[in-house]
Amino acid sequence: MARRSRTVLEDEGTELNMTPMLDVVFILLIFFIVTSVFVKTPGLEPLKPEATTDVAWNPTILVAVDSASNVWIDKRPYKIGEIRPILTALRDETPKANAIIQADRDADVGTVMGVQELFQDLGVTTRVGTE
Amino acid sequence: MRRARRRNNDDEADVDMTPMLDIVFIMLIFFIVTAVFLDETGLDMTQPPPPPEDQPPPTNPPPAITVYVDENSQCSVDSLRSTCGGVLARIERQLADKPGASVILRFHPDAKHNILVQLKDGLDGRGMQSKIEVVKDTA
Repeated sequence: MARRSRTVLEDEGTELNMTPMLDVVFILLIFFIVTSVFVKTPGLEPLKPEATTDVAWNPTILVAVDSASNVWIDKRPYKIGEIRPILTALRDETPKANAIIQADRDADVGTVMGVQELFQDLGVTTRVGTE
Repeated sequence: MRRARRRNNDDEADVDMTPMLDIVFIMLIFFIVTAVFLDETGLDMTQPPPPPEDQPPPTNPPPAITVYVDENSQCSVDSLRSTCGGVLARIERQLADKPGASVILRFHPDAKHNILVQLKDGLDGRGMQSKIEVVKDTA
């Protein structure tokens, strides 16, 4: 009888108390759920122009323009003439979307302003990304 | 012996958390992996929509300073060649002659984006209104 009860007590002593770790894991889980934004990244990070009057901007649609004036959306390059249906689909997915155009320093003005014009046609608030 | 049976009953009453824990961990790892932290800054370069067609243009348009940047990214202010870095200083000098003038930034489509951002940023920093136009031919 005495031996039995002692082994039971030892078992209880070696069992790890998981509760504090569980609390931390739950807090982490909730943090990542709340902060998660499912954005389609353009797939490249152009060298953007520098500016001093720029302001922080939280976009949900990201479009990049590289130095050869290809328009990158969701890791695929397009030409400026092809993107209208794609932008329309993106806008319909998130109707209250904000957009950013991340254009390379050497990109053509015509392409960048063309993409911005498309966004304005679709009623999406747009900013041009800077460093 | 009776005590041992009571312990067994206690164990059964405890809910087994292991499957829930597995799911929570998998969700945690999923959200960590898919998390994207955006830190973006941007300039507002959107232009007001053009005035309606039926509205006559203003009879006395305010004087304007036109900056033109051609396809080789050469800058000129009111048809006078200038270095792109010197455009802002030249505009300020012109403003002394034409007080209250508005600034029009006219770009060839093949001009470099960097120049547009630099000029727009410089004008915004000085509190000057500017209008961006993209045109093919020299005006």
